[in-house]
Amino acid sequence: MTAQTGRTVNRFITFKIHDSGGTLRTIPINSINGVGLDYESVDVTAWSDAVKGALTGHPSAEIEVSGPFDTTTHGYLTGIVGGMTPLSLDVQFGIRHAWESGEPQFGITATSSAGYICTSYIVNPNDMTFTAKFAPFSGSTAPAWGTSAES
Amino acid sequence: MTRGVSRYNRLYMAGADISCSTLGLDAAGVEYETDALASWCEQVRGSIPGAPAITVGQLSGYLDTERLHALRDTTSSVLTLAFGGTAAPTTGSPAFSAPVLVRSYQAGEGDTISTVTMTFDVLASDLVIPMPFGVLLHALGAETGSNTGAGVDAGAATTRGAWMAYHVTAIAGTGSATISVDDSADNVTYAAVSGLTATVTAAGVSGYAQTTATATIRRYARWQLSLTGITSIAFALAMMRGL
Repeated sequence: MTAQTGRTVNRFITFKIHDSGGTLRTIPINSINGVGLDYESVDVTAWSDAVKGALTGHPSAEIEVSGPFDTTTHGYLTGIVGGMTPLSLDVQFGIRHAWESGEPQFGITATSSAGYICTSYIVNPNDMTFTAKFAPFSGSTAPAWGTSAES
Repeated sequence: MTRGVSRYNRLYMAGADISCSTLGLDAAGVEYETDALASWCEQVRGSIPGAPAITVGQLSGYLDTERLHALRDTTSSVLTLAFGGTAAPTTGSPAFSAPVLVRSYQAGEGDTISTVTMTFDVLASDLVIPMPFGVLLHALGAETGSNTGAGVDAGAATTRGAWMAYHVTAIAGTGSATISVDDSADNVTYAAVSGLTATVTAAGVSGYAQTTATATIRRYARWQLSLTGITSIAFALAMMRGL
């Protein structure tokens, strides 16, 4: 199929992150938030201004995902949590079908100084789910929206 | 790829299997401090992982004089959670371990059966390998002679040390038992891992041992048991590699 336009549903969202060996792995999730850039709002209003004004400062791009505990996923995430190597991350939004090039995605292709790190991995043994948090590596270029897969 | 449910998890603490008193455990994991900063010229706020904190959530269970109630004043122990998935945990199953003390033990108000909650502080200050996740090298069960286990494949050697956590739930006979870990590059020729050994003389104990932070642990690991005088020992053993 060709890339589609329009609306979609969450069953076509795919979350991918590098494992410790630098291979992009799909992580089964059932919750994700923080996909995109969230700029701080810097108030630049002077007393004499007629209306309050703001400019955008640095963006944040932290991402938190949750999903079912899975032995394969567990191996990937325990291998990267707390690591100092920037990781590629790719959140793909398939439009009413499995994602393909041309449809929206957000992420970054890692270099030695740019990418994401995994800062937290917590398992809930009661319902056998996990929560993991990801943040851009210090000094990284910004992740971005695009339509081509990260590598 | 295997998912699982909680009824196949097993929980060990202070040398006791408390799985059959446990109704729930809220969390088990590790979280690194982060400080999202950006210099003027940088594009996005970024972090470097800071100090890790091992998280052990609140445990809820039955008020049972033979199990949780007997552990209410535990001041130094190891807690190990073994993930079974779709069957009871076996050698190679994922595991989580943390040195803990009991911070609170409070009876609750169940509808019919009396329940309790237990919270923990993690005593990890002398752990040199800040990784609570690993694998079971020996699922809880009895051994009746000096023996070794099957190798567990980590896929590759690691170079940031390891630690082991053990729980001895039963012993028959008088003497001592030495539980240790061997590693191997080929799953054929094994050698003892320096630091990963512990000697016990009684049941109802748990503990941990560790290597240096930069020790190389070869690809395969297995348990090793040496008995002197003891005729049977039931124990669980987990090993966590630094990554």
